[in-house]
Amino acid sequence: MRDRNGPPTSPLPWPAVPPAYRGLAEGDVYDGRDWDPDYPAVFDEPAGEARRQGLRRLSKLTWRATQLSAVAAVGFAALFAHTAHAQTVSTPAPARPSVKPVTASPAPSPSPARKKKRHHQAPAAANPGSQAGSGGSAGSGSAGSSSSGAGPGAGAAPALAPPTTAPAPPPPSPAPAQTTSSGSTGGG
Amino acid sequence: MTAPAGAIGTRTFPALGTFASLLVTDRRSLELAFGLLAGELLAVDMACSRFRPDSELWRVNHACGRPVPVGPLLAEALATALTAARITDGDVDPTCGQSLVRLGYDQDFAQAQQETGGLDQPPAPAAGWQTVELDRERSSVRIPQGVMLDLGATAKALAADRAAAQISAAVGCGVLVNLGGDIRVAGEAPAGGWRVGILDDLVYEAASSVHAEPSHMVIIWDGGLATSSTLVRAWQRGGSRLHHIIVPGTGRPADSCWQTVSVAAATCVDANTASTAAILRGERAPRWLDGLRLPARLVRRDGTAVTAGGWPADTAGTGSQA
Repeated sequence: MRDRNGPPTSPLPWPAVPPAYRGLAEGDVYDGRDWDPDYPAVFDEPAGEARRQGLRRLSKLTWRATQLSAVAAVGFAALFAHTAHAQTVSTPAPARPSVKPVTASPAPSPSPARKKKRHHQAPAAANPGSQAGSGGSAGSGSAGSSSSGAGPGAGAAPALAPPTTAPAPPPPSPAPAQTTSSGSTGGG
Repeated sequence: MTAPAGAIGTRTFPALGTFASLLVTDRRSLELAFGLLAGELLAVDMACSRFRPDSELWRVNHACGRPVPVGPLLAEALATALTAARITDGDVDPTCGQSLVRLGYDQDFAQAQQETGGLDQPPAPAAGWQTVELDRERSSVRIPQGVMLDLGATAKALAADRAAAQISAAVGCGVLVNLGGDIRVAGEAPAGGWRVGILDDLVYEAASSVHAEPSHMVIIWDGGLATSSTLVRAWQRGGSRLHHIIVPGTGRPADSCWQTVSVAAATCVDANTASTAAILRGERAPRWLDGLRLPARLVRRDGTAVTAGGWPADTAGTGSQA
């Protein structure tokens, strides 16, 4: 008996037509059955032949799976590259400057309330829609923002903006004040 | 070229539970400017009042957690309040409404301060501004059940910003809008600028404004100027003195080293946001304001003043006229 694990001694030629259809001569009517030329239609072939055919099919499947994986990897890479770029653009990092002077204070007094607020800050900072420019807008003051969906102000750095001209001291003998600023009794 | 100082027209009237002062550099434009300001204030009151049952904000506060469609003005006011909260790290939080109610500020201040009895419930910390869901595309707002919004910190300042810009564009002259001490100027300033007195320890009300004696005076040319104080909108409940500037984390009035903070900024909203946050930040406030280059004057409880951000040094105050 031949060793099944050994190399074939005399490899059989690859059949042009599977053995099951060898009887189908030219001019014969095809019965409509589809067939796989790689499939060993006759199971009483020598074990080496069946093994070779199995390995050939396995190799083909492996190659196709590799090709599919490569295509999928390229697709995902392109998708992630695009997504990462968009997130970088819309991350509200510019909000930091207005907060930094506080955190850089030499005498911070971290209270439980402060910690709670910092805890809340994270999701808000991750939401690009929750920012808008407030300072420096000449018209209605602070531009609106929304907590869901980016508005026109999204992407602008919200900060408290100083006036174009700082308040000046009055002249030595000034006229009376035209109006007065104080805490207000109304609102709410 | 600036307008001659003598041509300024002035009108003061009660509004939003306080007073409104309107100054224009062309006296002939005063009536038109007044009409625009009155219309804007009515619109803001209808949208943003916490006390009017027919206001939009009332519907939001009593929606039991459901989304509520809102108009563009309330949407803008809410967006402004949320921006103020975010850039102050949550110090100026619009969800302090329930805290104020627990402290007895549950109706218009003139009526609320009449009550002096003890409080029924403990203080309520703010829910946090992140709980507010504002969808500007769909023009709707949703807040969790039990949360109450109070836009007192920013809505009045926003009204001053909007009104000043609107009036200046319509009448083409310089304008100053003062809503209970929240000031915004727009257009061309009068010769010598706008002279603004600062009241450290007095309440500037319509009835007494003519004779109010400012502690300090500055000249402003553009932008906004606002003053926050723990001395005003203060009331007594159960023997305790309370005021309206709330620490969101505790729901209690701020125990600040500053009694009054005045800030100048590009807009009145920015000025008011900064002055309110400065009260809450206590000793850290001057450095914070310096870092933002916001001119500010901070007055301690003993009356001594500290300046920051390029605010001019104190000079003797003079009488005011409104």
